[in-house]
Amino acid sequence: MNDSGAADLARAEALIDLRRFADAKVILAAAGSRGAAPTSRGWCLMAQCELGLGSGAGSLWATEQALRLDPESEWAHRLRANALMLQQRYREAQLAAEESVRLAPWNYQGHASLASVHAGIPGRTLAGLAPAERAVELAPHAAEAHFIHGLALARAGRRRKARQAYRRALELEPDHASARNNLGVLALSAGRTTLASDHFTASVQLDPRSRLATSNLMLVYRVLLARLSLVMRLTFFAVLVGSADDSNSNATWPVGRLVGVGTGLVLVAAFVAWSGFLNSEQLRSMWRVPSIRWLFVPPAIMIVAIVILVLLPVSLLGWGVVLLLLIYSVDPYARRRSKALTQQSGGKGR
Amino acid sequence: MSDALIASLAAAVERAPDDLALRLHLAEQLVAVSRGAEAITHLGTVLAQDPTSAKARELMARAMGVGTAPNPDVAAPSGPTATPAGGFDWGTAEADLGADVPPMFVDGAAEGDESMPDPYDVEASTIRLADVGGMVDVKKRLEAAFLAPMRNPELRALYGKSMRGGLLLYGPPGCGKTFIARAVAGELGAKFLAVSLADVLDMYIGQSERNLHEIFEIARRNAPCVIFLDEVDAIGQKRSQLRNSAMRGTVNQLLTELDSAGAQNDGVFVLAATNHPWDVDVALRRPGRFDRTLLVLPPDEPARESILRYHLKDRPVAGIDTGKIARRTDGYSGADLAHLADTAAERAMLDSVETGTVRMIGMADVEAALNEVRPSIGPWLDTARNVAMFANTSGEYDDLLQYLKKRKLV
Repeated sequence: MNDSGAADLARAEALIDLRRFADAKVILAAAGSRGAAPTSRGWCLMAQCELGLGSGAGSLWATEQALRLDPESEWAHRLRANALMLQQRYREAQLAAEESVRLAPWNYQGHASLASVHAGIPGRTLAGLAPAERAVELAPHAAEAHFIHGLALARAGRRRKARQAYRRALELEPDHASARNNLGVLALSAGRTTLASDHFTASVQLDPRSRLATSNLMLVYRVLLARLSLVMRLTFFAVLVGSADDSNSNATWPVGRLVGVGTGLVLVAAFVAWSGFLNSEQLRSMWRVPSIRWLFVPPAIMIVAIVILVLLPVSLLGWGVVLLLLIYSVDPYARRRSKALTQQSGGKGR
Repeated sequence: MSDALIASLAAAVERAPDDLALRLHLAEQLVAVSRGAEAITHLGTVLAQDPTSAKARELMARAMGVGTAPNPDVAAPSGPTATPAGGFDWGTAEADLGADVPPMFVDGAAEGDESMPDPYDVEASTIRLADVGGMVDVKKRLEAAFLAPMRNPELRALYGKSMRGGLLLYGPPGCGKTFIARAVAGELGAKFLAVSLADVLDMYIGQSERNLHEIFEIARRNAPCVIFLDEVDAIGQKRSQLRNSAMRGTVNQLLTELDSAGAQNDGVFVLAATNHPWDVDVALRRPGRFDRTLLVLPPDEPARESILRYHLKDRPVAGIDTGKIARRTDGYSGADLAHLADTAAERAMLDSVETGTVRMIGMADVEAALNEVRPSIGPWLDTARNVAMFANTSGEYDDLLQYLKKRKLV
């Protein structure tokens, strides 16, 4: 390779580092059209561009060209594994990652790639642990190794250790958006909704392009508001029952209503214990999202209904409100609720 | 550097004579141990194949400097003014030529030498803010945040306002950030030095930093001068996102230059533009650096009309109602409008080819083009929306949030 060819590759590499995959691809293609001798490294860089642009097929083709020139290229095999994963060709991806490990057993990235493949294969649980642990052994100061280890541990159901691994990745690289997202997923699965919201928010702040973290954040907002709605509904019924009791007994002191309100307060406390405190910034963020904003309506209506019930004796109005609540008792988002998604790749590996 | 290592490098060069990078490396090592004469041979080969190699030229200059080490086999010259045996009077010849002949080798002294042409184009900007159609809000904010303090040094001194710090223009792509930067240079009566990633990025370690330093030096020599860093998210990306240590060095160098620009030089104004301010290293956003930001939005209606007129004025058009088109192109960037004009022209041209009759570009062509060309800023808005909703804790994106609210996107 001549000086200008090497310069083109170096420029393309720097652009890939800057996530300017399309620009890097143009430089690589231009170098090829100028007659620069093709190299395995050049094709690997092209494969990286294609991966960055989300093209599994393009990346696969580029890695095949790289392997044609240098069948022993560990990097090309590793990129091939990533490309195959993108196409959900898990078995082939596993073979490619294993080949990468065979060629460079000292390189943590190969082990991490293999662990990542295992973590991505549906149904597998423990297979990714060994290569992930090996990656951490080889590169204890690489955030990516700890991130993949966390991924493998989470797939194995060892959530506490997975949390530790993700936290270690964040200690080494505080801007690791994927580790933040995955910590959010673990927090949400443990029912710690506001903590999950914090992690997803941080992940979106670190990488505003991440659709995964954004959709996870929307999910956690919906879960929070659905819980709040449920708590308010239960509180309403508690007050309603107490209020009805008061109206039957002609008591001067509304004991039933107060018991109802007390029950409601216990429920709210249970909600806070369940979900955690929502701070003002979280509430503001929730309010800014148009699709979330209107989910404040059902709990707000129920709060108004509770106040009315406390202040006024139960009557036709009360039963009217009950009717209204029945309409709202089916949470339109409940059916759409899905599982929070784990980020499979930190996207920092070469 | 041991002789053995140099010998092995020389052997490697013999085996791979076309590997210019290797040959350059060998030459560099030879220069380092004062074996300039040998280095010159290798550098000559490199320059024969790649005359543009800055690295080779630099090393050649250094090699020529060190290459004059005394050679026991050659008698030392008796001095430039001595008349040699041949009878030619060198001293008289040099005196005759005087300053007309530039020095043969500058030996690294080119930096700061005003007789050498600058490798970057410094233009005198003739564009003024009045030339920017519409965008009244942007102009007002630009005037208040940047131009007024710059134009009034006495007031600035009175109120203790520092000149330090640059202005970061951000917004969707194709909305005229570069044009506005040129207009700012025109308003300040300053020269304009546009810098992109391609001007800075270099494959050799340390060269990108040197390029950046040279750019700032050129601006200092040409003061008053506006340095415009286009796509500053590339030159100054968050270091945590960078694996390539060379690019980290570039960010550090930019920080150094920004810190020294205000202290050492009057009249160097730094403007930067980015589509992704959230990717810019936080250190660059601190006070004294790019602490002022200006959101440059897609053109408003008057701006769209003037952009459309500009793109259609040299084309055969008839009956075009630019006001109507401007009303229907809310959310289109300047680049989208240029594309719209191109598409309409293409349609008329194809029709002329098919019918064999040359015809004017009409409103029907523009209407058809409007169905084809859609606003391109959608993906940017998606990301900007996430930033405005979830990453605006310190209020730095309040203007963006206002815009998104106006467009009912949040």
